Amino acid sequence: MHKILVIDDEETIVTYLTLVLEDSGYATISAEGADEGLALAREERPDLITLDIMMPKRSGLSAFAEIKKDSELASIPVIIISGFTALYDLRDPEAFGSIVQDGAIPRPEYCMEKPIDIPDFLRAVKLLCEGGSMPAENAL
Amino acid sequence: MRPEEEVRKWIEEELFDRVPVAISVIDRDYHIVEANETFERTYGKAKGKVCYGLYKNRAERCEHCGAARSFEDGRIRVSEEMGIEREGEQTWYMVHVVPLVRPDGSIPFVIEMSTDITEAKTLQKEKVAAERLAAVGSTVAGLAHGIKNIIMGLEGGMYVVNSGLKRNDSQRLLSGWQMLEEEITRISAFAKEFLDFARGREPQVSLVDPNRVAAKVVELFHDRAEQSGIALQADLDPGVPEAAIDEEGIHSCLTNLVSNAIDACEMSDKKSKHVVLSVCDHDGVLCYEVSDDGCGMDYDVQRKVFTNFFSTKAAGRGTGLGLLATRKIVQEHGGQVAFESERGNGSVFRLELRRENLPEPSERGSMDAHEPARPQPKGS
Repeated sequence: MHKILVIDDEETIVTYLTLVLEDSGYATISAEGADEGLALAREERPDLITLDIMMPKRSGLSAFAEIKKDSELASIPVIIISGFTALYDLRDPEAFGSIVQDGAIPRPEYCMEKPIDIPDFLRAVKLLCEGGSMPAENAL
Repeated sequence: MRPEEEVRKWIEEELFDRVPVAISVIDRDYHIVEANETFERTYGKAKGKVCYGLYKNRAERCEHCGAARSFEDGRIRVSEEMGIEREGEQTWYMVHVVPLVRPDGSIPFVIEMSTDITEAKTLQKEKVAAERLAAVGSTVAGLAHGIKNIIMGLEGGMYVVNSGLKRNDSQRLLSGWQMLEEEITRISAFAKEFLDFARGREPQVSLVDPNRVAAKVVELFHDRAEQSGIALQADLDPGVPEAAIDEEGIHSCLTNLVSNAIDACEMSDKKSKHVVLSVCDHDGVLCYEVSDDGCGMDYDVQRKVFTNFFSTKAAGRGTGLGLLATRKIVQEHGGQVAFESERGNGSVFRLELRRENLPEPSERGSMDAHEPARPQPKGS
């Protein structure tokens, strides 16, 4: 059974995503913030991470950078789930490049804008857990 | 004739009638004793008639009669007035009311000079209407943006309630219902805030030390900035004089700007993060400036900046109508909001409050006295 780590500062969102995943046969763990999420990821080695960006204290983006730079975590697929605004849209390759200052960081495996489409989400989770990758258009 | 003589003759004999400004002289009974050609062309035969009858088709004196006040205090006044022309069209005038003050201080006459500004006024109104329309359009878009988190929360609540019902799981059902209650509370709070904004709030204007407001806002965000590893500081100037402002309104503007700046820093992955709120004053403009070195905005984002920052994240984090409300408050002070931003480098937002445009502390009226004091009698 695949294990998914859900990271979001809003309890409602965490409850929603974990129940949806559990109902679809996944095991779940969750964290309310970036630091907690990273610690949990190292401890539990999930098969996939969902990550919110706008969180107090530490941006999800900073956590994402750390994941991709850590040899032990870099291979875990990450789905960024956030309320994208025109201020930043990580689905846009150019935007990603300028928001994430470090050019060595690859883009997330998938990006979804809140409110998310659940069937779409579950399809992406299944595909990524099985080692596949999202078709290029889906990233936009 | 020498040139100076020719000019003097022209001034004495022709100027009064030639100027494209309607001039009338009224006595203390509001009867017109003298009027120039432009006046009569605009309003018809004038002598002997009452000014309010000709200008405004009224049977009695106007409520905020500037002439009346000038008869009292001898001060020059200027205002914008609406008039009805001879053919019945509505026009706008800039009216100067100039009392004729005798050496003994008595004021037998008041001169009214009216310049037609109908065209400029029409353009101004059209501009305001267009801006309001644009604001409504982009506000609607901004609203949709801002409530994404709430929508997802509501969808989540529904999922949990529905799956709880399907499984006959009353615990899940209850949990889902609580999620819905929470999200509905948030959306209600947001809607209320928006309605308050639309309705408008009466500004309470008083003389305030501009530094004080800035200091309070910085203190408000001290803990949050520290938790997020952001260096937040106030750059005050004790030399800045008091200003007539709505303290609560300006406080909420600065709160909005600082909160946005902190968000921008939190969103960036840079190591060092700085937000500075500064106060300065030059060339008659009181300035509040909030600068950050967070993620910055590109051109497309800048275009929509006044509606992009609605946020309905959990309590205490960037709730409210953001820059839309800020701009409204600043405009009520006769000022403007300016900003510069560069993607990847940060942003600077500025509230520019021109002192001469600031509202009167708790005083309102359409005809307020001009700065020049009562003209002194000749020889003193």
